[in-house]
Amino acid sequence: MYGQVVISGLVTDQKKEAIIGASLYIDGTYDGGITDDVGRFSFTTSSEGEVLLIISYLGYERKEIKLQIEEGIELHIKMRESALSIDAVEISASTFKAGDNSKVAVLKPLDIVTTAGSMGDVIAAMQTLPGTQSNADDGRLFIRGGEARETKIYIDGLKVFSPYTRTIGGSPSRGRYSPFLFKGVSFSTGGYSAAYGQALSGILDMNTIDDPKDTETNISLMSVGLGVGHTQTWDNQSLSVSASYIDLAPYTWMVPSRADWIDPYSGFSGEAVYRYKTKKGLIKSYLAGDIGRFELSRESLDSGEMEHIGIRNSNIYSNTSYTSFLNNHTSLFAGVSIGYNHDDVGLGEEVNIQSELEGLNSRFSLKTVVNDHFIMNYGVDFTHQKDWSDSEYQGYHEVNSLPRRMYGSFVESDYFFTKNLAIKTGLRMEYSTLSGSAVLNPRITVAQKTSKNGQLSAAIGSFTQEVSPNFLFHDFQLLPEKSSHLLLNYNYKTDKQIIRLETYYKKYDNLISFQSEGSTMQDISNDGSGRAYGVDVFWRANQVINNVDFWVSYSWINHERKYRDYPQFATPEYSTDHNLSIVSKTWFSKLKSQMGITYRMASGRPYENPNTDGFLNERAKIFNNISLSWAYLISQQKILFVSVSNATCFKNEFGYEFGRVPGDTGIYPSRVIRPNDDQFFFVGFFVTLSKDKMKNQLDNL
Amino acid sequence: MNKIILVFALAVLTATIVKSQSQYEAGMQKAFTLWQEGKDTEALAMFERIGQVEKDNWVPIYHATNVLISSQFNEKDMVKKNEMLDKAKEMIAEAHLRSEHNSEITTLEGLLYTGYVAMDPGTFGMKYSPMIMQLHAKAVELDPNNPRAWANKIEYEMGSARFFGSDLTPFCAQMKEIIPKFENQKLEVPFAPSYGIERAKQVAESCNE
Repeated sequence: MYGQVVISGLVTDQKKEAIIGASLYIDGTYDGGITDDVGRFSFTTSSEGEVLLIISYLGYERKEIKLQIEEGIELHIKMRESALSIDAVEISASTFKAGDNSKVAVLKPLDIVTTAGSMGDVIAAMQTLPGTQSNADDGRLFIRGGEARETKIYIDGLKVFSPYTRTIGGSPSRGRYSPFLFKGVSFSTGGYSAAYGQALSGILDMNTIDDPKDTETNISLMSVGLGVGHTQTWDNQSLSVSASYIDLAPYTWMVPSRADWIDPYSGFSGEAVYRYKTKKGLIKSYLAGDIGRFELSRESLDSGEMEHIGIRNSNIYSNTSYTSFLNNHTSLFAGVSIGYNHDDVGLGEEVNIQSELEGLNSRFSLKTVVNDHFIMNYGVDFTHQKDWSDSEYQGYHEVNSLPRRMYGSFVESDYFFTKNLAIKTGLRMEYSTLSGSAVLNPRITVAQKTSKNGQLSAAIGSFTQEVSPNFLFHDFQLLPEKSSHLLLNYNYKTDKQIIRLETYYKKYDNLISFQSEGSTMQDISNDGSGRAYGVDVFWRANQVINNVDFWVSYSWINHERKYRDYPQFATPEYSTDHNLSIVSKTWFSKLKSQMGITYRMASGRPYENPNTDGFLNERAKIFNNISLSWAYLISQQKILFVSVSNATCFKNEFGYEFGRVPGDTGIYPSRVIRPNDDQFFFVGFFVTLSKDKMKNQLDNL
Repeated sequence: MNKIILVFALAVLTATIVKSQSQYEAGMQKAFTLWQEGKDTEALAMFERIGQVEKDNWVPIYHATNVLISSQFNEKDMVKKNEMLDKAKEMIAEAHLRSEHNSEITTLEGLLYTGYVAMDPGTFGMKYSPMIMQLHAKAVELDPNNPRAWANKIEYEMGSARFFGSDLTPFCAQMKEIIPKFENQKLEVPFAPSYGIERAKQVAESCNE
């Protein structure tokens, strides 16, 4: 009753190679077929007139062809590989990612918490990656010759204003936020996206978990304190709250410290995450607060007397974001973060410094997937920040307040010429109300796949950041500091191995420089400059040795700058030439245990010795650290975790500090800088209580 | 006259429905045959074609997804495997739109995420393990008589117990208990899933080996 027409032909890729198993059908009918071993297809249809032929194959762009049905149709269909496919060229390959996007992930989500020596600190885990410079007595992130302040930390794309806990020299600070809240991180040591501003050296963006877990309660008993957490889930919303109390007093009593603690660190912290799933989007809200205090005494190099140093810190951070799909092509992000930090520092009887920071960061951005080859990302952001300080010493009283606003906007596009060649071009504009200056930062990355598993990319870009408030208090019209990055990256990735090589050149301009007169600064200006170049190497192998997963990071840098009150170009104190990390994790199924070993090495830190000629030309001893961890799964709900840092007890030194005035013999008094604690022991016992007995805190280790 | 037209129209309409019914049945039969013959790609394409015509019916897309998830377990190429899982994820979302609160689709979704975890435990274990257990619990809750929901749940829990070296016999016993659910199942819609009894029996017996 109907005419049956045969439709046949060939399906190939753009190189005319046959595609086997491509599916073809006439839209709205059962008529169709798949291609055979030589890419040929043939099927009959009873359709008439104009129809739509649909061709699809995994990893290729879906194709729709309008067809007039007639006898003897023979087609040659060429399919194009999708640039959105998993093995397409990765345009931000110089960024380290941890997460579930296995296309680019270098670390797995669990790595953040299972790296020996990181003690559950996201920041410490990042320090095992190349490009970072070890400053074990400080704990913050130092990237490619940059000061710690040159690396900005974000949560869900929103700025964190005071990411590190407050400590004192010799005791490293930690990231404030619990690693269990994050599903992944994106860490860039150069050439990052135009979406990020106000960072000269690096970006760490941590993404909180979207998917609520089951209703459960967690209890942690630790050698340093205790914690409880509870998650409640409903249909499309969930709430997690956790609280912990840390007190180092019992620990310091048992394990002697080099520091003379009067009141060892104690602190209370609480966190809450609320997630609400809408039909097309997700609302996430995060609130964290902590208070901490400690007091110690140390000998003054100048007076020889014991001085008391005490710090009390309180901090609040909150962040709310909304992500949603507007249509099939465009997704929206809107968010706001607020931060408040208060420090109260007392030095002896006479010096008291109170400082406060309040900040607000908001961002609105859109991402449009124009087609399989073209993606646009664009948005605006706004930052308000106020730094305030009140210093009192020896009858002298000074109050500073510095409110300011920053407007930013960016546009960025990813264009894929083919699946193997892509270019990212971005432009960022910023305007600061304080200096009344606007800056334009262009950034470009080109990436080319060189083989099935290898790719080469190059990036160039400029970055700006406002100068530290300490200087803005003196002169608020100081221009932002500037850096330019040029980098070349090679990436090789298979199922079992990742190799990354990166070389870079980095130039600093408009750095702060001043003249020191005693303890005051004169002639503050933007006349400083600097440059750095180096090589970063990363190798990760999983299962190349049975049950062992390890990675090796090595960085070499040559860095000099003339800034602050430097009389000449020199390598700053925090910048070490060689850094090496080796991290390994082994699973012993019979013992139900994961053992971790982390080795870190850094060449000696520069320090300035006023008793000798030259400037910053002395070097401290090489830094070594071997950390061990052992996670034992007692049962599905109980885990025992033991770790020790610097297990072999290397006597590390970070250089020398000197008094302000020379002694009677004309020689400046000196003291070697050592960590307050050579080693740190941690024992923790974690229990999960949930309706479902299968759950445990394995995730949390 | 009007009556004649009405009768004629009804006849045409009925004929169309019958024709499309039989076309649907023939199509589904053919797809199942292809799958049994081990022609996964053909079977998948056929189920998908039927699915894009029968836009309100969840059954063809369910089977398409099931074919895809089952065949990815045998795929050695990791990139291909990942692409197959990602596509199955999209298809599950589509199936949920066609039939909300469906125990069978929810069970299949649990299997999908199990596929991700099996592919790369380090990357997906932390994120998906709690979700898989939630999905299994939900599937059983939606339809306590769905034997596949039970079987997948028990087998997954058994896997965790094996990892911790716990006693497996309670799981075999549970599996044995649910076998009557397979025997007593009634198909509410034609071609709705009914498979799984052989696997369940195999698992139930595994403790005696």
